[in-house]
Amino acid sequence: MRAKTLKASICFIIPLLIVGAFILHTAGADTGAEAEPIDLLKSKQLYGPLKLVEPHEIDVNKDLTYYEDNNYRYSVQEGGKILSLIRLANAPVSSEKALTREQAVAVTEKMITNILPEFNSSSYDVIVEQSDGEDTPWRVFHRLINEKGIIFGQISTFIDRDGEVWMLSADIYPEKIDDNSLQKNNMVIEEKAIAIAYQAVEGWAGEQDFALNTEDKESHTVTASQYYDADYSSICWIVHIENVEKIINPQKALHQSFLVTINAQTGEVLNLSPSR
Amino acid sequence: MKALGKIFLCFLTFCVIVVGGRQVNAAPLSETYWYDDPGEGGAYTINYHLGKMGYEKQIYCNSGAYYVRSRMDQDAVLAYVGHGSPGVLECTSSNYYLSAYNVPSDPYNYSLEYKFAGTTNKLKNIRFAYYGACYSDAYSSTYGRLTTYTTNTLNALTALGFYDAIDNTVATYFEERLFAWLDTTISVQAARDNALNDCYTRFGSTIVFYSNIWTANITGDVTTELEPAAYGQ
Repeated sequence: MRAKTLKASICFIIPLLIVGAFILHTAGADTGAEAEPIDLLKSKQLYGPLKLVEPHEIDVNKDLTYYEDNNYRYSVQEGGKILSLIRLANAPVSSEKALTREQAVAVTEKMITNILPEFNSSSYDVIVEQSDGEDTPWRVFHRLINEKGIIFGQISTFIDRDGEVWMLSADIYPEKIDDNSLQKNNMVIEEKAIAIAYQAVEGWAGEQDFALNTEDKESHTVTASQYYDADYSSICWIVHIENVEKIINPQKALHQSFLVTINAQTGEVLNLSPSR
Repeated sequence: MKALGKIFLCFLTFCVIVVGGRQVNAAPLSETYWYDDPGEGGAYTINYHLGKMGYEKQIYCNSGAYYVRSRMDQDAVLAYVGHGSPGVLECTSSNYYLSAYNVPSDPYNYSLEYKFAGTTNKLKNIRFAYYGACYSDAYSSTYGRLTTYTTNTLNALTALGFYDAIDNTVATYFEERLFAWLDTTISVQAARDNALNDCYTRFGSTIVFYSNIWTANITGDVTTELEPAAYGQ
């Protein structure tokens, strides 16, 4: 009698377990497919449990949601996309060590994958900067760029002397890369953009009390890049003119740089800013 | 006559107590400098937050390099908003500039080395020196490196500078946010990171990249906080 009951129970329980496991698996798969980065981070608990925190009274963007775990404060967009993380001052120190360039990139990409699960390093140009050999803070920039060289945002990661990621900001627009409407009427070519930038700088200098040597172009370093500007929802040029001699008086001269942003469709100068 | 002497003595004692009391209770001094060229930047916001944090705030426009240097050892917080070159704060109101190293062959140079290197107190009073200028964290074999010379050689607690040329618009916003965050009782390092993140939010990653504001580097004790108001070491 007991054996029969046992058999019946087993026959009943095993299919039940199989069906249960299937349902759980399917539900899990659904969650994985639809889960937003912040949900995935919540489930992984990489640095302890994630808890919702109030925005700080001086936070710039009140529309974001803020979370904290034991190590970081995350700012999260509606829908669950993580825009940035900042290391908390009381975060536990794992191992204080200076990193090599390769290690810094590896640490950065691991952190990016934590908050952007779809991240694929092959889609990005990597720029790695270091202030000097002694202090060894690393600044790692993953630049999202299309085949025409247009920049569609950047993930910027700062690693300090202790080898920890202290700040990461993700400002990327992968959905705009294939938006042909953004690029079809861009009439301003690179040479034209540089010429417009010089004209703007000369116009600015005309209003100042000093002379600016914009004639000696060979001594300047000029770079021009196209990028997607989310504020203008259009492609713009950013022209960086460096090492321009500014003559304050016969005894004193400085070297100054200029950043000029230009609408790539109209050629309108959107902003001009000198360096300090 | 004796009575007059007594009154005079009482008056003198009163003066000593008042002046002495004021000395004891005086808030730590903060001095913020800015120049017509390149403009005020975030100087007034910096000064506002320093006052709010409890510092005796002073702000000056177009001070010469000699004046800035003559006051530095009394400052708890020094903030400079102006032009710079590697190892040099330009102080563009005159031809003279402030450098880390002494360069006797340069007639326009006032150096920290000449004024403070041989003193016992050096710049120990400084809790935080903010050098809001191009290349203020860059090294020049002639003029030195301002940040490390301020902290490592002259014993100020913390300094922040930039190791490349910085854009004035983004730098203005950065320093406004930096001191706003410092006013929330967080470390210089945390304030810098929050301020940089605010720049990304405001200007976007491409402009911030070319602005070089991300070259902001801290020397000395990165955990220093400015609140409550206090002197350095």
